[in-house]
Amino acid sequence: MEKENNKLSEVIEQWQKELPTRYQMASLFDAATLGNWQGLVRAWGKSQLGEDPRWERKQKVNISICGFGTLQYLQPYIVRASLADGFIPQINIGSYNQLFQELATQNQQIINDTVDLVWLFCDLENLLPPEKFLDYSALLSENGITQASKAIENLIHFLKDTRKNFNGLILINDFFPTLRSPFGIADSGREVSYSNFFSSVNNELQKFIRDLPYSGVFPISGLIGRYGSERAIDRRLQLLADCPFSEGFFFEISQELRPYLRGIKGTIRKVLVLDLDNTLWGGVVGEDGWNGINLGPDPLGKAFVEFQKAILGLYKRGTVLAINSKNNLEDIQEVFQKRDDMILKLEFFAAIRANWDDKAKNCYEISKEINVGLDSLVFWDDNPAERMLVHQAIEEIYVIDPPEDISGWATYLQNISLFDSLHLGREDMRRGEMYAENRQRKEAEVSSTDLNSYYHSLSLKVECSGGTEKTLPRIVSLLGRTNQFNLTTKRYTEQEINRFIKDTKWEVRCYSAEDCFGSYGLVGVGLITFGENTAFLDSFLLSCRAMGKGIEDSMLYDIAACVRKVGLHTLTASFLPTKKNVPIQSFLPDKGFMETRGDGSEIQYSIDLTDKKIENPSHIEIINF
Amino acid sequence: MEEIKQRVIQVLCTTLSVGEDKISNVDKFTDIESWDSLNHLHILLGLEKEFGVKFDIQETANISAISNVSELIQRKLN
Repeated sequence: MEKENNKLSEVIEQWQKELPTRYQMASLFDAATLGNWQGLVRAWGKSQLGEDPRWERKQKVNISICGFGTLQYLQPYIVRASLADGFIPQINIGSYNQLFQELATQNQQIINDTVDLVWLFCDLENLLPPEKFLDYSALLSENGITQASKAIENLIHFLKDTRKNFNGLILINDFFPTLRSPFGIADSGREVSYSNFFSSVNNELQKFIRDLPYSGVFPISGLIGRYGSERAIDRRLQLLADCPFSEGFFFEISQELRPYLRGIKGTIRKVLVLDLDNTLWGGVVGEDGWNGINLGPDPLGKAFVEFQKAILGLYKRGTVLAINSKNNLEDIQEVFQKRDDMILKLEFFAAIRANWDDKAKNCYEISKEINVGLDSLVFWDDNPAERMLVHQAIEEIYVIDPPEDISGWATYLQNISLFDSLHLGREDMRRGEMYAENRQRKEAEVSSTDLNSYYHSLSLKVECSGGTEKTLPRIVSLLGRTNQFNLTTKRYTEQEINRFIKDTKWEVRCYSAEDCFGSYGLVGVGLITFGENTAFLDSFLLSCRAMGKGIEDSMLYDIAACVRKVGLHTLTASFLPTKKNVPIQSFLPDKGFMETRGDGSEIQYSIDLTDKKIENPSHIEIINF
Repeated sequence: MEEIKQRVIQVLCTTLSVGEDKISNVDKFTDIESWDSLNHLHILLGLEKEFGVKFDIQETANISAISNVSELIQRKLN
C-alpha cells in the first residue's frame, strides 16, 4: 500500500507540472481493478489539482446534490466517477434534509449558472407524511397511488420554477421497494400489490419528468434490482448516520452517473470496433474454415451467439459497428454469406478492415472512413496484445478489457454505458443503420465510373419543411454537433429555436433526405432572419455523412424560395471560419454569392436573387411539406 | 494489545488525513483536530476493514476512543 501511495504521489506531482489529458486521468481512475481508489481520491483532494486555474471550463463538471439523508458520503464516489471520465469535478452538497427549502429559495450554492447537474435524492418516505408507512393496507391502494402522485406533483412544481432560470440537467431518483411485501405471499392477490405500487408511482414520476425540459429519472430502482436491496441498504449505517446506502452501492450509483456526465459534456462514444476470430465466433476462420468456426450448439459457441445478440441490441439503438480483423476479406465474407447462425450481418457494418495491417492503423482509417473522431471509438478484441497496441498508439480510443470468461461478455457489453445518450430519438436509433448504408453507397460510388450516372442512380429525394416541436430536439442536436459543413457554427438551445419557430422574422428550415439505399433522416438545417430589405442566412449546415451529393444545393435552392416568398430579393450571409469548417469555405462563392466585406474572422457575402438563379440539381427531387 | 492500538492509530491517520504526531497524546476521537461526525462513519468502516470484524449497533456506541476501541477489537478477535 505504501508503495502504491508513493507511486501515486509521483504521478500527481508530475500532473501538477503539466496537466494530464482527459485520457490519462481516465486510465488512472477507471482502472478495472480499482484497489485503493479511496486513497487515490484523498491524494487528488490534497493535491489541490482540482482548483488549478489552467483547466478549461469544458473539462470541468459542476454537480449539485440535494435531498434527504447524509449525502456527503457520496462525495468521494462522485469525485472518482468524474475523474474516471477525465472530468474535473466540483461537488456541492445541499444542507441535510433541506430539499424543499433549497428549491424554494433557489439556493445559489446549489442552483446557479455554472452548475451542470442538479441531482435530487428523495424517497417516498420523505414526500408523504411518515404515518402513511405505518399502515401498508391503506397505502398500497389506488388512493395511496393518488396521494403519492400528488406529492410528486408538488415536488415537480418546485422543479418547474427551478427550470425557469436554471439551464443544467435536473435528475431525480426513482422510488424503490426495499422490503419483502408486507402482505407476504398473498401480495399478488391484492388489487395494488407492494411491487405494483412502486411501478405505478414511478410511472407517474416519469410522466411528470418527460414534460420537464432537460431532465431525467435516475433509475435507482433498476440498480437496486440488479445489486440487491439487502446489499444496497445497510440498516446499521442508516441508524448510525442516516447514511442512505451501503458503501458498495454508493460505488454502483456513482458508476451509473457516468453516462449522464458524458451526455452533459458531449463525450459520447458512437462506434464499436470489433475483432472477429474468437470475438464474434469461436476459432479462427483462416484455419478452421467457415464451417469450422464455433457458434454453438456447445456452451462456448452459444456464448458467442449471446455476445452477437448484445451487439445487435446496441446497433438497433444507434451504435455504429465496424470490423477490425486480421483476416482475408474473402474468408470473412464467406462466413457472413454461408453461416445462417450469424446474428450479425455484413451489411450492419459501417466500415470493414480485414487485412494484415496493424490494428491501430486500421482504427485510424475506420475513423476517417466514417467521418468521426478517434474519441468516438470503442475497441473490443480478445487479444490483449492487440488491445495494448491500440491503447498505446491512440489514447483517445476506449479499449475494453473483456472478462476472462466469455460467458460474461454479453452482459458486460450490455452494462457498458459508453454509448448512452441522454435522449434517444428516432434518428439517433437509426444511426448504426445509416452509417452502414453509407458504406454501401460508397461502394456503389467506387463501382460507378461516371459520377453523374452514380448521382442519378441514387434517386435522391430531399424533403424541405419548417421546424416543428417534433423536429426541435434533432435541429438543436445538429446545430450543436455539426462542425464541418457548417457556415457559422452557431449553437442554439431548444428554447431559442422554439422562439425562432414562432417568430415571423425568423424561418427555421430543416431538410431530410433519402435515396435507394435508405433514409438519411434529418440532416440539414437553415436559419433565416428577415430584415426590411434583405434576408440574412444566420445558420446553414449539413451533417457530414450527407455531404458530397448535392443536398446542400437543394437546401440553398429552398432557402432562396423562402426569401422570395416573403417578397425579398437579397440574401446576405456570413462565413465564420473555424479549424474544422473548411469543407464549406468556398460554397457561397461557388453558388454566385459576392464577397462584400471580410477579415480573418468573418467574411460577408450577398446575392441578388433576381440577378442570379440558384438551381436545384437535376438528380435530386424536392418534396415540400 | 499494543499492536492493535498501533493499527487503530494508523486507520485514524489515513481516514482523517493527519500525521501520527497529532494523535499520539489523544485518546478520545472527538479530541482529534479533524474529527467530525461525518468521518466518524469512515473510521468505523475503516476499522472493520482493517481488522476484518463487524461491529453491531450496540458496540458502535463504544467506538469513541483509541483505548476502548482497541479493547473491543481485541475481545472480538479472541
